[in-house]
Amino acid sequence: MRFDGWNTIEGRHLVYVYGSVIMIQGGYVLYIATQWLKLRLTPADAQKKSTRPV
Amino acid sequence: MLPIGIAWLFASIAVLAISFREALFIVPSDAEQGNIGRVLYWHVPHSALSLVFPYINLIASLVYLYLRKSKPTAALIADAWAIAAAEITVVYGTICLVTGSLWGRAVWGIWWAWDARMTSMLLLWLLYVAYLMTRRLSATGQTSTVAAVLSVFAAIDVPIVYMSIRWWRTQHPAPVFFGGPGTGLDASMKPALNWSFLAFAMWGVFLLALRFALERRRQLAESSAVESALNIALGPETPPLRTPKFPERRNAF
Repeated sequence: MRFDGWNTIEGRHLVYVYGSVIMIQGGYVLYIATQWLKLRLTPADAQKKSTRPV
Repeated sequence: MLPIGIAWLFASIAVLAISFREALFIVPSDAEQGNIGRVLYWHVPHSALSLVFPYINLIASLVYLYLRKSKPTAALIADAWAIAAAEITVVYGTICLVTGSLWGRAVWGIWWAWDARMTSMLLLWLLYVAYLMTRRLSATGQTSTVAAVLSVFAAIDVPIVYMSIRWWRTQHPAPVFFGGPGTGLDASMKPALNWSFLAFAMWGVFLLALRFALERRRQLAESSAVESALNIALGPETPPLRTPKFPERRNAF
């Protein structure tokens, strides 16, 4: 009874569902990772890079 | 905390793999819906968990409101939990809405219906998007307080979403769990659903902890930046200012 009907309307929608879950969850993990790497700057480095007067 | 976090991540991925295998290759197809019924194994856990994380947000927001004047450092920790829980609510709510819509297109032939469950769930999602937008865009010094008050109102929608299919019988399928006599899941479907629940709950906890750790890092960086800016502004003749360090910094995830 395993799933083997990939080339049907059901199968395609199942692929869309599983694909969308992986994309949304993966996208969120990537977002956190990006924000984490941005915070690697020390405050002193951030001030050097900033054009605003402190 | 780092080894526990890494172990939790690997455990989550292992359980996710088991749930994926159970849902696609082990469990029989649904007697009425056929293979599209397998959407259930990812849609239901995300939907249920998107009604759990708002309560973490609510509790953290209430703690923040209670402690913000007497214990500002503890209040900041609660605020970090609140923003983490709100973001996970939006992520899980998005998946709930997207997978439900895809299932509806295959089974009903329509992407969306303005029925009680779907509309209340969309409203919940919008409320937490509004919460995050408030936090991102508000320019006042009271952003966390405003967001905490908003989260109290947003949480009111959670029981409405849960009860909507019990109060009003519209397009969404009737409750399968706790729906009274004659409802429930076939025994052959339970292992796959249980594995999926466990997998996405573990993954959600991992995301929550990761987002919390990121928010604490951001708070710490902001605090250090303010401290150094004040020290520069006050000049060398003034003793250097020291903002209180977060004691849990060394335990950051």
